[in-house]
Amino acid sequence: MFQPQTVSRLLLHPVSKAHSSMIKFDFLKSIIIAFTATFILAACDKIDSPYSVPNEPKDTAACPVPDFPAVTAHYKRALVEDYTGHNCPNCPRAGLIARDLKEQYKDSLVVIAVHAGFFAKTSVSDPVWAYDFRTPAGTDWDNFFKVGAVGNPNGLISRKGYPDNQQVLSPSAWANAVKNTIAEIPLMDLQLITEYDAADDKLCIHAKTTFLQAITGRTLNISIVITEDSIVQAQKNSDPAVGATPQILDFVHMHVLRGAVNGTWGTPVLLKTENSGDPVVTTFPMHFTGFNLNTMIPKNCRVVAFVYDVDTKEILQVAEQDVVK
Amino acid sequence: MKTYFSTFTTLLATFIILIPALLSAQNNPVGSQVNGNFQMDAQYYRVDSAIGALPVPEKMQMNSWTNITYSAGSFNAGLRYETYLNPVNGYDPRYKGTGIPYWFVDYKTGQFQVTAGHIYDQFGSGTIFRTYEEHNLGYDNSLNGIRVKFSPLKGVELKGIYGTQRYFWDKGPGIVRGGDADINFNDLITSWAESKFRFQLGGSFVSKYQADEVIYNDKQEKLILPLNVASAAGRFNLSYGNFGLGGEYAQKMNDPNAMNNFIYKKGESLLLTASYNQKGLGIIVQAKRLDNMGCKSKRTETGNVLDIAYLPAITKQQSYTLAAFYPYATQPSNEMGLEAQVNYKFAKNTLLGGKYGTDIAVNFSAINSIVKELVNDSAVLGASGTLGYTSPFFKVGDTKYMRDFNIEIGHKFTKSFKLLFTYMFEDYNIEVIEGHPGEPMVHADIFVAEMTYKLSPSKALRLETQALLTKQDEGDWMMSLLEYTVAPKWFVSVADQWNYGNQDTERQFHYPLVAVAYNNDANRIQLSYGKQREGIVCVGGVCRNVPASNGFTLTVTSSF
Amino acid sequence: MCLVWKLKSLKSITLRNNFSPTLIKFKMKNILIAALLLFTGITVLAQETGADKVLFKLPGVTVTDLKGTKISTDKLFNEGKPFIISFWATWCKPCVKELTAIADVYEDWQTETGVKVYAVSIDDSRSSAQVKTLVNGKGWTYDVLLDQNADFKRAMNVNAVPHTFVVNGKGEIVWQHTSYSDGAELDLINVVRRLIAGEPVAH
Repeated sequence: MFQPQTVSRLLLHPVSKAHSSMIKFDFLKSIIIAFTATFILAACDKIDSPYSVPNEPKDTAACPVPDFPAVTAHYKRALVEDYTGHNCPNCPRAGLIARDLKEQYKDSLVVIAVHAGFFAKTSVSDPVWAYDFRTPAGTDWDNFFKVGAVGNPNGLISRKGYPDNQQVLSPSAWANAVKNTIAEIPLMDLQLITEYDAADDKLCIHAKTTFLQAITGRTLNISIVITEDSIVQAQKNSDPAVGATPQILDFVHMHVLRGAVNGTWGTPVLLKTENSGDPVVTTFPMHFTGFNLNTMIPKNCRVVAFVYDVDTKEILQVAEQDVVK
Repeated sequence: MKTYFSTFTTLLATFIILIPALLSAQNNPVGSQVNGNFQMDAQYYRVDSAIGALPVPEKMQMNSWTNITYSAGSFNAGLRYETYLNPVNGYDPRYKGTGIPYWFVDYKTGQFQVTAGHIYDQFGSGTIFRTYEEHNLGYDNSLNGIRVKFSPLKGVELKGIYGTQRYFWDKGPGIVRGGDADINFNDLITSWAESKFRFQLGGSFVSKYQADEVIYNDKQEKLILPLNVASAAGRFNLSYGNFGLGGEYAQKMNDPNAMNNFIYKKGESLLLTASYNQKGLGIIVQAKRLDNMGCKSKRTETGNVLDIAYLPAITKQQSYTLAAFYPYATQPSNEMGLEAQVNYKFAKNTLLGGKYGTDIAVNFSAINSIVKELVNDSAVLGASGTLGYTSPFFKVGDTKYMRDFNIEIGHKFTKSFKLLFTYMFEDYNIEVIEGHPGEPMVHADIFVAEMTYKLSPSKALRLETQALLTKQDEGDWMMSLLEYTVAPKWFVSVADQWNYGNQDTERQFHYPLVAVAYNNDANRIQLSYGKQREGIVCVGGVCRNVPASNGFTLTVTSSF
Repeated sequence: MCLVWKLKSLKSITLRNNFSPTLIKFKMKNILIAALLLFTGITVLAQETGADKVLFKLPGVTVTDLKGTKISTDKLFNEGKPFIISFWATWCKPCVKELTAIADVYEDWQTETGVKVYAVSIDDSRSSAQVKTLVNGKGWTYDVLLDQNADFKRAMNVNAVPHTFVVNGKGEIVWQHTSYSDGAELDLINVVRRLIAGEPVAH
């Protein structure tokens, strides 16, 4: 096909007499074009109006904003996202690693267990594996960051490394990544106040972002999610040091992601066109009924908020607060 | 990444400036030439929730690469341009992107050969060092650095390498350096040149360096990590007439990594081969011991990347679909294996040979675990941050990983009809190999019959029927494939895989496949449509699911 | 072609053991591609365009024969007569089919044309020890070379096996073909016959 003579003729005489190899080249080329056209035409999504998803209005009437206490110490917190699934036999070990790190770093570390992907699938036939831990937000994150596609267990530490496609970290690499992240100087403080009214089944979430340095030219979003502890369900297990093998029927699942309050990718706190200045307070009301397809127990729940850069996806600050003190 | 490109552009600029000068200066006596190849795989996916084919947001995924090589006498250079947008299902998604991850320049003169750039090479059989690529399988661990080969005497070759490894579109954090010596006594000693006795000896040494990092053991204590890890290997090969004997022994010093749960035990491996060959008969027996020899240039890596060591399975590589259904994956931390194979040809015009002769091949492999015993500094076998275990060298462990016996008989009945019959028996430890804890050992009997009927000198019809019978896992499978070829250009095939024996009657799926290919010398274009079943792969404690797929695949390859 | 089938049937083996270069600006990529094409163009323009339609010369890569002797591939020869290089592997069924089909008529081919077949195995250390066993077990009389780390395969730009080349008496490759279907070996011997007769090797 790309025989030297052919290429030379193409360069010197674009319209030349048909050389037998050139006939084949043209034929091949037309086949390729035909198939490419078929693929392109078939691979399209037609969208009908409305063309955008409207932002939820901030409902400050239902949730009046309280006063935030002053921040005395500024420190950076890291977020460990442990991508796991109840069918993943090697995942309980990773959960232990996350728990040990949390014990060590205490308030400087926030852990979320994201159940998503192949190993979080539920069984239609076997009730032991019928519990669905998955959430639309968790599945979206897993598909976007490709954590499960690389394998489970794996995780993200403050979603660092995304621009270089190096965000997926195996559990043994978490300790080093957490240590490096926590050592960084924080760009902002993030405070969370939660007000839960059991009678109304209403949770008011207030998040205050106080910029410690000037930030320009970056769009920052805040993502607010709910996690729940002490969900007792079966979990496959391959490590005898963690528990029974091949499965632990009454495994206590902790920090399970239950859903995103303000959408999978959050809402803006700073736009690229703005300069950072005064603290930004965002308020979100939330109801536990219907939030997750499973029944949630509010006193086992926590609110996790994180502010991240929309382009690099890196999480700049994270905070956590119990729903019920 | 930035350094990558500035080096490359400088190099490229040098070519562009030098080449016309070189070519015009000479009358092209040496004959410089440019050649290369190209391959593109594009897949278009459709959702099929029954078999588990998930929606693919980009709908179409494509892998493609182009190799271009330039050679002029003793000077060679080349590069590869790759694009994975997005990588096809089953490939590591971190390959997404586009660029030139491979280039090299090579200069050979007399006793020396120097290569700079990306290097593929192996020491001996690759136990302590092998960099290679297998693009159809998404594997590339090339070494970016320098290689020097020096041959001081005829029959003696010394090699030295130094560099970092490819990590998707970047480089791994570890530096790899090593050397190899290979001596062929029949070339070295002139009186041995035509001797019936042939003897080769070799030795190699590899060391990797990675900066310190924080890794905890199970008790949250920071591990004291060895920053430099060395491995060494020695090999020999001798043959006398029809008999042959060979062996390779390798050792690796303490290398705590994610694949062995950060134990400090040294690694050891031994491979022995004995063979007998004469025209019409070949016999080979191989025995292998593998203990903690997995080595990567990044401690915490669990993916199929950054390998320094190559530890292949000691089982026969199967090419029939159902025979390859339960493929063995080497357990790098422990394995005792044995493989034996006999190939024999019943000559023409004998009782079993018939008019054209009959080929028969028998292969047997058995793989067990090694014996692991507690070391006094730990109460748990293989606990991280300890020696892990000790293992008596010659003892075979109790856990059966794989037993596999296959017999293949090929016979040509008439000038136009040929039959290839295969029977295979397999014991497959699905719990260990695919990470399915609690599942029983899979016993499978596999039958394959491949019949080729020539309709004319250039037209042939080939039928393959395969059956996999098992009471475990998903039950029985059956596969048929019918292929019509018009030599040398056209290939049309229709195939179906059917899980008829699945206990869950809702999951007795069919996986049909239709393919058409047109081949013109070194150019080939193939379009296929079908369903592919899902698979699970477990490497070093991380399991990945390769989702089922339903859709079109277009493959174009060309060499020019 | 064989490797593509291999991918489909061996997906589990394959994926064993598992940086978005935003730094590349679009302009930079364009420059590189243009430079590459330019440089290819200049070089090929400068090549001789002889009537013999040479594809390329044999590259000089080290392979070993079954006795363990290292051989440089640019030194492969057949006393001035054309020879065939066929890339194969023990796990590649069409490759073994092709070489078996040629083995049936090899003696006749040699008597008629004096052609020689170099069967280059790309089996890596997993199966390279079985190459000698299979070759002897099938009674093949080819010159078998081992290309364990695919150096020769890469230098010859082979994508998938089987891939067969016909080399003329001067060590220049004049014909190549990939994939095998029954009867394709007739094309192979026809190319050799034309070379011997001094006729152009038309495709």
